[in-house]
Amino acid sequence: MDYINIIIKLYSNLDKELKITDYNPDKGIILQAKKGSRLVTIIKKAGIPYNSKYAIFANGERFSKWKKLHQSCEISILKISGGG
Amino acid sequence: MQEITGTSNRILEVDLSTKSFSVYNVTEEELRLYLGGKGLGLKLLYDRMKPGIDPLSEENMIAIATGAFMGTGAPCSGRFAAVTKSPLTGIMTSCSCGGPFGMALKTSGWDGMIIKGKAKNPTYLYVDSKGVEFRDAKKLWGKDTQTTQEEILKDAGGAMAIGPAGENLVRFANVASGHRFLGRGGLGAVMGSKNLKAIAAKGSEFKIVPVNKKKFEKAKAKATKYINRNDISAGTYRNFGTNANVNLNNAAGILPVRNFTGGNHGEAHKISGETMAERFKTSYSTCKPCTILCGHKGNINGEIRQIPEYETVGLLGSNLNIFDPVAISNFNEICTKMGMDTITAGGTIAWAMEATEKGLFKSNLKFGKVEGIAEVLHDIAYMKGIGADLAMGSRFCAKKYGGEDFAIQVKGMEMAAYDPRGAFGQALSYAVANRGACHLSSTAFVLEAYMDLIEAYSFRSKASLVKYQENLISAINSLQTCLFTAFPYELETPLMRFSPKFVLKFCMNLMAGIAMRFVDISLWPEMWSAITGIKMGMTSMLKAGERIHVLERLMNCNEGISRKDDTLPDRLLREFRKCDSKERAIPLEKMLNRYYFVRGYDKNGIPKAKTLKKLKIKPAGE
Repeated sequence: MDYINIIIKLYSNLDKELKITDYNPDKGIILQAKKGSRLVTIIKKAGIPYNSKYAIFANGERFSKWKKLHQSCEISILKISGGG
Repeated sequence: MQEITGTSNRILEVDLSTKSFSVYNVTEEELRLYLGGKGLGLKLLYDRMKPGIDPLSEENMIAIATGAFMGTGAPCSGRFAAVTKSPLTGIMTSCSCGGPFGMALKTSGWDGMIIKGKAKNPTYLYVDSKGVEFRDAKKLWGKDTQTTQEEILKDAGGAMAIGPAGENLVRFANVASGHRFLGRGGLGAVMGSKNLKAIAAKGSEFKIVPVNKKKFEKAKAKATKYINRNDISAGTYRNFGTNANVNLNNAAGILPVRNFTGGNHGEAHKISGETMAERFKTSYSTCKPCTILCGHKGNINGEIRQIPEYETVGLLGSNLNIFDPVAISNFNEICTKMGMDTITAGGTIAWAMEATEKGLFKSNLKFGKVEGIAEVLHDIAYMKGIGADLAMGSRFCAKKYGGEDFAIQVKGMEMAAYDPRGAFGQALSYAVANRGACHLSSTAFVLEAYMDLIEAYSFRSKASLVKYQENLISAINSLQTCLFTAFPYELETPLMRFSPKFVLKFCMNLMAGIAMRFVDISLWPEMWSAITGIKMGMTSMLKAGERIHVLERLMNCNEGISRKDDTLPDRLLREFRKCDSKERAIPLEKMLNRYYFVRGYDKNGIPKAKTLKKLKIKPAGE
């Protein structure tokens, strides 16, 4: 079975809200997952309940929870804002 | 205390040349068609000002107008508008400010002011319920915006003042009221050209009372509930200020980096709202009254300062490759005191850095180098050395030295801190916005990049989306309530709250024009009607917004604006962001054609006669 490494970065103080201890904002959460895993599976594994109000991005684009992940994918999870 | 029920409808017409004033009474028809604030200001100038005048001549006028909500206690209503012909762009500019001057003017018994002519000597105006005093400002001339306000507030409740940049006619000089600003387009230079240092209003002479108190209180309670429940207004804005956008834009690839070449940067988190809130131990410092509380202050190097807003952080930070929040705060303090728009200052300095790198311009400015920027900001304010050219904005500099492809401006106004290559609707919005590359004409990027309600990289539905938002925002800016109320007032309504996201997304992508008609925006007209006693529904409010937007376009067309000006800088049309996973070009022409069609403009972007007739706008000269 092939495995890939995924990085999940949390913003908007989500780590504190979700009570994720020892969260390192520079490194994020590094997870190993089966090749072809979907985002929804991975974030559950990281202890993050999926919330449709979160904005989830990878590589500068919105990332659907059903999308398959690839090696070294860096996922950013944030709360939305409204411009400045 | 005497009471004003609804609006006073009294406008002070001040002639600086003759040191005289008169009173103009706004008709009910004008209030119904143009709402107040920005809309009324534009209408007053449309009726009085000829096209083609020099913005820095005494023929230019300034309209200042409060909104109907001001003074009633409606949430986030402490705002007022100023409209003039911009010396930066040569077309109309309108600004909205949350400083204390608006409340002081309205509670002095005036809904607004029109200022014309030119004072012989430095002057400041003192307004109370009796009218205007023309006071000597020789001792104030040369002083910064904050010191000036402190000195004239001894017998006034609120003031607006220019700093040295306005006096020296820096084309993007702004006007301060408290620690908030009438920011964009160079209103400060227009005041400077009139020898007008400041305006102070006594205030607290009248109490503002809604016509229908019961109906107003009911709507106000609902509005407050929505604001306090919404994730954006009561969450990200309240906790992290507008800098909550830094990490979000960085993740979405729309953060301006290195003069709009990047899209994101590994160090962006250092200047984010989350970092600043923790590092500077921020507390609230907002417009008054405000329920959202996005304005913050904090302890920066032992000094309590206003935390720079997101646009400042984007343009004087990441766009210059600077990720030091203390340095950005220092630049912000200089711009605050000198009275300069941080967006245009940052955009112009970014052009100078790139032009220097390419050998087109001589300076010691360099991307990522903090040293030298503070000195250049001072030089701009005093029009010294290279500052004399930079004070004219990036369009002027690029025409003189070259590098027009990387002068990131539209119609002469520098772009706000959202890279439109990651949100095509925002690209259209920047291209067609009336005052230039403004992010407050339509905020398409929020629905595209943040909320994922409409496909960011598609041209479909973008014309309808931009038109709807322009109409709504023009109306909100005329009611003079904070634009940020749009999030709770729209998103917390039952339809938006309980509709599944995929349904909303489907409707928005396939038929935005129709879907928008179902968005419940009733809170604004409910409050406006209760305050003024004039009936207005959602459709009439949007129609008024459309009228205001098209009137502004018509005034700009009378100055020579047409399709040729509704474009984007070459960099954004031909280059790709470093963060792009694949190459995509903004389909601007396609979106423009559709936009002109839905707006009722001809192929050249000029409002058609039947559009003007439908909106009850009389063409000039009729």
